[in-house]
Amino acid sequence: MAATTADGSKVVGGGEKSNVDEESKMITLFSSDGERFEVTQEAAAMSQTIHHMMEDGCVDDEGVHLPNVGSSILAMVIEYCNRHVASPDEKEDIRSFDAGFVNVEHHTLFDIIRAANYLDVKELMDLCCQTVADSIKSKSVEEIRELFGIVNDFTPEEEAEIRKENQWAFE
Amino acid sequence: MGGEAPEPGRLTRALSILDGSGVPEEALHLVLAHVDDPRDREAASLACRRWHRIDALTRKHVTVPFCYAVSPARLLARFPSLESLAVKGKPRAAMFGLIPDDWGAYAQPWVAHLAAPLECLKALHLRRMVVTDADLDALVRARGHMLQELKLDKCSGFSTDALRLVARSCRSLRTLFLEECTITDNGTEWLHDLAANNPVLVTLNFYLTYLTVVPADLELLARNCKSLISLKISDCDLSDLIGFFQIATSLEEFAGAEISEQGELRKYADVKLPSKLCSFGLTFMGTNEMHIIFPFSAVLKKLDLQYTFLTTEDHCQLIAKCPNLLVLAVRNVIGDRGLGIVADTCKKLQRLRIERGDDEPGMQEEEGGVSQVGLTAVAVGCRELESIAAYVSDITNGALESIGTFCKNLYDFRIVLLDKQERITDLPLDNGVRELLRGCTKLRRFALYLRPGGLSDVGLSYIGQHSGTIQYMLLGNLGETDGGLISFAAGCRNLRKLELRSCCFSERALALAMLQMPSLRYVWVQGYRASQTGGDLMLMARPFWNIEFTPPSTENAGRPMEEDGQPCIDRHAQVLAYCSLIGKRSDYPQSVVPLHPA
Repeated sequence: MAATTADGSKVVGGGEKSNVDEESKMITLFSSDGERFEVTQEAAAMSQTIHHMMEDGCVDDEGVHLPNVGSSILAMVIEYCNRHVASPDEKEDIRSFDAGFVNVEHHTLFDIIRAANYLDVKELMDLCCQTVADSIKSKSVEEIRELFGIVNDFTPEEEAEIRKENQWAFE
Repeated sequence: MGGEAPEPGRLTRALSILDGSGVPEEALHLVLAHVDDPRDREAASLACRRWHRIDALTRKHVTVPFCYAVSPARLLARFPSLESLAVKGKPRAAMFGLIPDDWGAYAQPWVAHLAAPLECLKALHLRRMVVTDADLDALVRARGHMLQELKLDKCSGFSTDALRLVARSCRSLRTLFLEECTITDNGTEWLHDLAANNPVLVTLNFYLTYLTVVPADLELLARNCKSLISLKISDCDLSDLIGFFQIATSLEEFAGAEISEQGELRKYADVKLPSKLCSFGLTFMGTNEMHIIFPFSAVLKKLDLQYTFLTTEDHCQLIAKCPNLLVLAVRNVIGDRGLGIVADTCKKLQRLRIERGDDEPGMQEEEGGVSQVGLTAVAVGCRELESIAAYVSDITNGALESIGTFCKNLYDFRIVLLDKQERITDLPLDNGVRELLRGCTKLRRFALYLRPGGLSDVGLSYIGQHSGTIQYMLLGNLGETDGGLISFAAGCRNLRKLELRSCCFSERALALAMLQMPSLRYVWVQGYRASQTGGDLMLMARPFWNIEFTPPSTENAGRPMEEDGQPCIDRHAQVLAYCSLIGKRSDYPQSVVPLHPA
């Protein structure tokens, strides 16, 4: 039986609650911290990883355990997949959704990238990577370090050599 | 217990867990793979060691803007997984016969040190370099199985024997580009071998070479290479290509071939060009042959009329039928009238090139010559222009101003004022140049070649002041005194490469000016007030800055000085100075004196 938690925000599958024992359109996913998510098979199949598991018959009654993905991130990935499966042709809406979706902190974006990589959701990975890449555009070195909290571990000599290479040798 | 719903929106950066080491490796790889702009890549590579390494491993392409700036070994050390490499050699002046054959820019060290170790390399582009058969042999041995793109761009030193080797060993070749190379022709087998062995060929270009072509080999090419969409060949009569065109149904771009007998309508009557053709150029095409283009003129995107015999009227008629042109190359026989047609018809035009026609008396076409009238029309009519290169007979400030006002997408602007007309309508061009530079904010490349009186010292200072993000400049016959050059240099913050010709500046001024330009990494000068030894050039001596000097001609050695005590302008003397990480080069010719490092 599909379970719901108190606040209801966990049942993110778009379809009706159905008996997982039957040949159903729902599939259960478990995050690393044991949270349970109901998702339509269609949405789940956006993950090539899960898609292959379903095809190979590796998905049992219990569902799929995803030890590499925490609940908050998994919820976001599922939200993305549901949205993209629901109305894939409405480009304006999707664009607007995507823009809002990636409007999060970098560390969250990186977590989503990691999850999307593990789950092999190419569109989501491209979207997030492009977003982070865009945030690098036209930034100076100092700004990039600031944005990502990077500590400069070059010696002054090393940094000078790289600057020379960048300016004179390699485009 | 349920996890929290994700929090959208940006939090402040006070969180101490957000340090660079928290960025996952695979995420950074994937993110940097989406970063294409070289400047962004440069910044990323300086962030920290990890970012440097991941940038180096994910960068697909590197261009070495000048082969003597860095060693191949250093390139390999930084970018071991490089997939695509471009290296540039001789100064651009080599295209105008101003650089001796033994000047340098040999491909050998690059091929020797990189072909084998760069295990991911599949594309190589060499420009204005000396490439021998042995070099191509070594390249093919190491990389032949993977090579997809080989571009030898205005190179010399090899023969068709090497091309045979490439043809037989590089089965993955999609692009073979040999345009304007000087190639020793030992036979036509290379083309036959290419046609027989390379089914995935998409682009073949041996335009403006003098290689002999056998039409049957081209037909074999068309039959075997179903993906071939672009072909530019050396000379071969158009009537011999009837069979080829019938087979090459996917062809979209064609240039070369020639009309060897103008007016012979029957000879060319059966030529039927492929239906998808949208880029075309035909040598010696005349009034009687231009109808060949009419059937597809409406879909034409690129048209090269530089080597045709068309009159001004012909140009007008033809171009009026080409509303979708993106790229147009002509000679100045097009005249202002033809440019008016371009302005009215070619609203999508992005690139316009107007080459000089034959200047000999008797050879000039009646209406030939382009002036401010045509230029202004084009500026107003073709707002999408990104690149303009023109030889003009006359020019005004107003025309340049119009370009600044209307051509907001311009990133490359080059103008040469021809010598023919004695009196130019409106000189100096100080204000026009200023307005052009102020208006065209996307300009990256700028060339201005005038005559004495064409631009004053004030005008030259305007160029510096409004140089914005221009990275390359060619300036010829500009300015009046050393002061002009110094004030020009004071403004050029982003200029990386500078070429100066026929200028009145002294060595001292040149040296001091170079020191003022913080981004300058390459300067070439020819025709200036050279001393015998180039002594004053040492004023700009500093670490990592090579200075090469070609002394003035000996006939000038005995000439008296000019009135101001300066040597006269010598056409033979040259200066080449550039940033280098490898010190003095070991392969300079007799004619070049390395001043620094000595």
